[in-house]
Amino acid sequence: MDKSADVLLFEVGLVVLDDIGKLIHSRKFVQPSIAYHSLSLRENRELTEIVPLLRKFYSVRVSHSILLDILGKEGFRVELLAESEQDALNKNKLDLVTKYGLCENRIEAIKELQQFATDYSSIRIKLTSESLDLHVGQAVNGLDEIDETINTIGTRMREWYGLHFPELDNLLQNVTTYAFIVKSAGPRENITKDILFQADLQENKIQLIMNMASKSRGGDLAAESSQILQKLASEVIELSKLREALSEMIETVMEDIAPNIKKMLTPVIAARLIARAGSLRKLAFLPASTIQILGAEKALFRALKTGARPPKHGLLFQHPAVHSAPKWQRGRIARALASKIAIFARIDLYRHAPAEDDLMSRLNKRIETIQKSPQKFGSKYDMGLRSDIKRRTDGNFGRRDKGDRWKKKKGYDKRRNRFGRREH
Amino acid sequence: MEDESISNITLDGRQHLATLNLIRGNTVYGERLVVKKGNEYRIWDPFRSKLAAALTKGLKNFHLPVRSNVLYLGASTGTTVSHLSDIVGQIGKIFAIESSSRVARELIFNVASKRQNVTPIIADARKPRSYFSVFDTIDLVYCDIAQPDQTLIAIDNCRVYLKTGGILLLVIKTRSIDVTMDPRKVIKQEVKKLEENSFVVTQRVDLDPFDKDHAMVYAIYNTN
Repeated sequence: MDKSADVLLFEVGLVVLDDIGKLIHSRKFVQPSIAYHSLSLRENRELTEIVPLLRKFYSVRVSHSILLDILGKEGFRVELLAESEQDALNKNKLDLVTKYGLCENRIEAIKELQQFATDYSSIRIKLTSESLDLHVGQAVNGLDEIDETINTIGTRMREWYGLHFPELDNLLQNVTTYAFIVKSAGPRENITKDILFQADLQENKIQLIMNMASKSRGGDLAAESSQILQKLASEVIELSKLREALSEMIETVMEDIAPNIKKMLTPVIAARLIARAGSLRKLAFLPASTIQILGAEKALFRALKTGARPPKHGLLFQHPAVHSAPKWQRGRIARALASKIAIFARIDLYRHAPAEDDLMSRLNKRIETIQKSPQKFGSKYDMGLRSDIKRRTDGNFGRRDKGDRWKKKKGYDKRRNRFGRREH
Repeated sequence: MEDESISNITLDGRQHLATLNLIRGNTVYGERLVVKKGNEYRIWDPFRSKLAAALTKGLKNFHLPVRSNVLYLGASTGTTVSHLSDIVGQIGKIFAIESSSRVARELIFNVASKRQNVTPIIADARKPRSYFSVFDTIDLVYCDIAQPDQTLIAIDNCRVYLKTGGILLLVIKTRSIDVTMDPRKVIKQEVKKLEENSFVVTQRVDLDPFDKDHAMVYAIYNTN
């Protein structure tokens, strides 16, 4: 019972050796990539044959940290082979797998190892492609792009229909309502009370529009233009529906993967943060200071290069507590928010349960304190200082005084080649 | 550069680098194929591949024999990998490490699934012992990763895998190391790190204008 055994994990199979290096057991994986994947999830399915064999030994030495974890759980005295021994295994892998009968010869071994790597990498890619935070990232980017599109073609529709019924533009703010009327009616003569009622408009607004339609100064609308305009309008409506579906999807998925940051930031901002960081896992590993300026990389690198002021907030600017605050409070509020996001992201990743209410109330209290705090005299935002006002109106917003001087230095053009033209 | 695998080809009055295509008729990233003396060559664009840029800018003594083994850190979508795969031939091997599964997808679909000598490995180059499927001795380590500690990562990998007398080709991305520092200083500092770790740096090539603020360093690993 005082002997030890070695368990060696190769990509194509497992080998057990006794203390004098004699082969006790070798097992070739039927589907190496799947077997290796199950092992890497710390499942002991592939080890069922080996475990009873090993009971005879006092201790076990293993070639891989995966085995260390699994066999450790099984209650063995396990240690990892020395790094030099692991490296030797790697260097002689082709000879070893042949020697222990896992592959027929070196050429077969090369082929099988290559096949394994491709298969296993494909499994890994498939799994990451299935992770929900990638999908929510795509969804939120899609949401922004659809907003842009609705805005662009919505404006085109208004401009175009405005040739025919210019008065309507001022009466209606909402693009989808406008689009609904254009789509249902076509030329302004066809606008009826019924259509306007379906568009969810107030009684007095309906009266007004009907009035304006009858005495509009717009030109007549040819049938061709009318048809195209109606199609354009229905696109706007379809896109708005798609936008709603997307934002619902983001909401449900965010509830699933990151309920705490979702609750704190609203689903869309939280999703944007995750998309910008790459994944929830990456976000959870970021320091609060990085989260604070996530999305303001350009400004950050400019600050590092030229000595301008660093950005106060990136994506977090979209949070109501930040953008509704006066300028001189925004940096501090963003910093308070970021520090709690860092904590919440970690809770979402690992605990996957609601965070303590205490954290949220402490954040709210902190924001309240910032909101009540008096403005510092002589700060950048203190309008009382003349030099500050000047600095802001000369188009050099927020840059320190030394920020300009380096441009005038001799050899500036040379410096620009090295620093200036680089894009971040 | 009188290798038969790397060739200079004149096209439309201009000299181009090219490698002997391992798989006839196959293009990887939309590069042009040219037939010369019955052999098919793939044009190697220095704007797409930093190794081609280094060769164009005068990297000497780059001689990678057929059947070499290469460990490639930061394989990305496999542009340079595919040309190295041309050079080492069927019996050589390229172990292509890439941590991002997004670009590794293209590496696998476009390069590894077609070229028998490329082994794709999705792993973090910071942990050289966690790679699966690396075997045999490595003759060349090629490192092109955008991390502040890229040189140390390359050194760690060489310690584990590179044979004595093997070659390290390191792309120094000065902007990834320190945006605020003078690029020339960064290169000096990184070269010093290599020399402190038993490398002999024989050449450094500035990759401008193909890649701004990048340099390629050619170092020989000398453990004795």
